[in-house]
Amino acid sequence: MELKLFVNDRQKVFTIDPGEHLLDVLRREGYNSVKEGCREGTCGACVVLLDGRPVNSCLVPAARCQGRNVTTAEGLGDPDHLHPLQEAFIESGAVQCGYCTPGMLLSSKALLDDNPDPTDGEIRQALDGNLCRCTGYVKILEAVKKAAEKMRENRK
Amino acid sequence: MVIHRLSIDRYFLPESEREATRLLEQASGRYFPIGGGTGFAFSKPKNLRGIVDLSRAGLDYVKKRKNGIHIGAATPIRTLMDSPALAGYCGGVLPEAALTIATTPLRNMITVGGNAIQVYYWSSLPPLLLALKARFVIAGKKKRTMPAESFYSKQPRRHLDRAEILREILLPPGQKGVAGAFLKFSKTDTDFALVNVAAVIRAEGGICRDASIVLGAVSPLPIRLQKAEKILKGSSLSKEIIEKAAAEGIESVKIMRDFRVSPGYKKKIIPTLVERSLSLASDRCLGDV
Repeated sequence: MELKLFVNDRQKVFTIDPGEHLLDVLRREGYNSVKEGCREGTCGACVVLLDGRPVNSCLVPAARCQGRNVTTAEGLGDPDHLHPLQEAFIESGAVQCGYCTPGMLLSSKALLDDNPDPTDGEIRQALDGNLCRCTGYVKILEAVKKAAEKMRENRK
Repeated sequence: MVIHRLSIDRYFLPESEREATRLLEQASGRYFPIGGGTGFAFSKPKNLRGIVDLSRAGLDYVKKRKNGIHIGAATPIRTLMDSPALAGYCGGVLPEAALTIATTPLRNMITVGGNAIQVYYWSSLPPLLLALKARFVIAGKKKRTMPAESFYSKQPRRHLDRAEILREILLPPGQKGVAGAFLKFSKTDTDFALVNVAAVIRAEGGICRDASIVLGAVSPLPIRLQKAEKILKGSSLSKEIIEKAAAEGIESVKIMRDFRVSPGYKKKIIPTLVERSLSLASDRCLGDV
């Protein structure tokens, strides 16, 4: 079946199997930032934004996304123009193996788009669906706070 | 069990409940309705050939009316946390329970109807909806309404024929002096419940006029602690009465086997959880919180 949707604000048309999940379609179409982890909605490595809200793409039926907007980490920025979140993650040392990072970035983006000045508790809650085996989370939390500050400055 | 792809031929996104039920009727059991579809992480129905996705069927809403709160079955759990209509309802017990369900991304996908109808023993909403005396509106050839006591008398999906869907959940109107509390006990915040408790109390002048106390994760379906409720009714909501209800109220409860912890472990923590939830509900009733 044909799937027409927006990926990172660009209209796309994909041919999919009706039973496929969004994770598999995105990776097949070259959005390799979206990672396969647990395939049961636990680890968050596959998190993308669907109309601005974080979801586990391993559980989202691809066909459900007809006409909708999907955001992946590729849509955040590019190597010459990093998103403040990407800058902050690098500056804070919040990336080790990098596998959880795309999901972390997108969950963080959804939080900061909704709440530009989150508390520590709000950041932790926003990231409660993203597991990291490397960092111990401290630097990730620092990075989100740093990014929030950068984004507030950019708005001034 | 990891399911990589559903072996289906068709995927439908009906734009009304009528269209959805018509599709299901035509399919003679080969199509399956979904809210969020996250249940497929655990299992899938046999002979599945198509999905009827209810996310665009006009069932995503929370409405406050004179006869109560109407929640569409395809409403994501996240909406229970954000909806102004629910913030103060019954002491804020719905956002409180919603926050115990899964994680942030999953709360954007799991639906109220899905969590209500596909009962896993650890589910949060079924015990709460039973305690709140919710009613369940089923759409199909004829619309019908079931009270929670009947709905949860067996796995709720078995009440529906193959061309019916859960349309809406109705909660009684909010009242002064009625408040609830929901507590989940688990290893981590986002883990499945080892035990959960929903308590809803109606009080006047410090006296309990009615109480609903429901346990989850101790049996396949949520169970009411009727003995504890009887201890509370007509009594003052004192610390002593609450402790008595919590301690004696679970005496006859049969706790099922759970591979994660022993029934004996659950039996030890249940009274504490019941006591805490009753205290919280009572404080909210009496306006102390």
